[in-house]
Amino acid sequence: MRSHFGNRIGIGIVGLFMLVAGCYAFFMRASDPQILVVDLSYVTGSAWALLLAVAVTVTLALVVTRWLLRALGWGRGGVRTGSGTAMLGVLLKGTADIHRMRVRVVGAERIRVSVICGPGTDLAGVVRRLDPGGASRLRRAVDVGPDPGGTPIVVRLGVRAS
Amino acid sequence: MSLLDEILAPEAEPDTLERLRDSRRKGVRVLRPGRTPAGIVVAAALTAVSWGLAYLAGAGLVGVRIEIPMPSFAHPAVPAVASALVILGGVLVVLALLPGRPILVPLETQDDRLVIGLTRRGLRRTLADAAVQVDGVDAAHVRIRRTQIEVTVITDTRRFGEPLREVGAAVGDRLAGLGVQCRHEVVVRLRRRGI
Repeated sequence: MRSHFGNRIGIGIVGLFMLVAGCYAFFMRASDPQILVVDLSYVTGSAWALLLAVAVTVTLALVVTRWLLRALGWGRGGVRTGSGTAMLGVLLKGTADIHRMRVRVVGAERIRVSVICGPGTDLAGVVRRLDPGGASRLRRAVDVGPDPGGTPIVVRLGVRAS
Repeated sequence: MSLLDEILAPEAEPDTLERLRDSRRKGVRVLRPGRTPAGIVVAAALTAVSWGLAYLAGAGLVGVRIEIPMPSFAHPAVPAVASALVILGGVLVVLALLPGRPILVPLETQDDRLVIGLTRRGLRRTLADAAVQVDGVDAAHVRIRRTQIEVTVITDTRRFGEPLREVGAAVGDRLAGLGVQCRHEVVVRLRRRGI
């Protein structure tokens, strides 16, 4: 299991590109300042090069638009599962001051659980009810992924102000 | 098991210690920040730029000429723009490479495929609740620093030693009970009301 990695790859590539471009600009200003920053004469002079430029820029635009949508949460929030929430309710039955609980399935590969408690809630008790037996029961209730018994579960515990 | 427990229990099974370290590493790896705000900003800027370029290229393909003045490297703005590119690029590379502080505090679990994280605000609130349960403590404020959990309690009592020990024990018990996977030391400060 890993945290979401796509943003790191994206900003790493963009950062490296900017770093190289900045250094290149300093180098070119020192060595040959009369050269144009970007010389597009070859692209505008050839129909094939222009076609290729259109294909490359549209592909790049589609890829970064997808990245933007994913970064904004599209497809990462998952869908709520009623059976999972019901099983979580059964597992936490009797625990005082539970404000909210939610179970989501993200991309058929991970279960995300969110539990919000009050400050006086026995959080250690909540953890004991989930680990290790409760997690298995939750996986069986949700029944998702190629290996339902081994689906990773990430639980976010929050505490409300009194 | 906290770092102190590990030091005080050298006779603990090496397998157990290794399992606890694995559990801590696993929790930290899953709960590491995904750099979402930086990702949104960079992706939005790149989306605008790339659709603009696609529009210009498409316009060129259908015969519409859009003149863009292209400066040479002798332009006076080049050093400033290049410096900005180097600084911003460096910041982005550092953001991408540094692991960052986990967004949630990982808790110890026995199930290998289960990660439980407690929000920092949640940890502060539950520790403050543990401190307030001690007799004579009127209010408590918890700050989580890089290596310390600082608990400031406000009390009317004239005794100092006993409440300090009791608050420290209550907070330590709460941390141990939760199985918080952090190496913070707990510092308790006592403040008299009205000072």
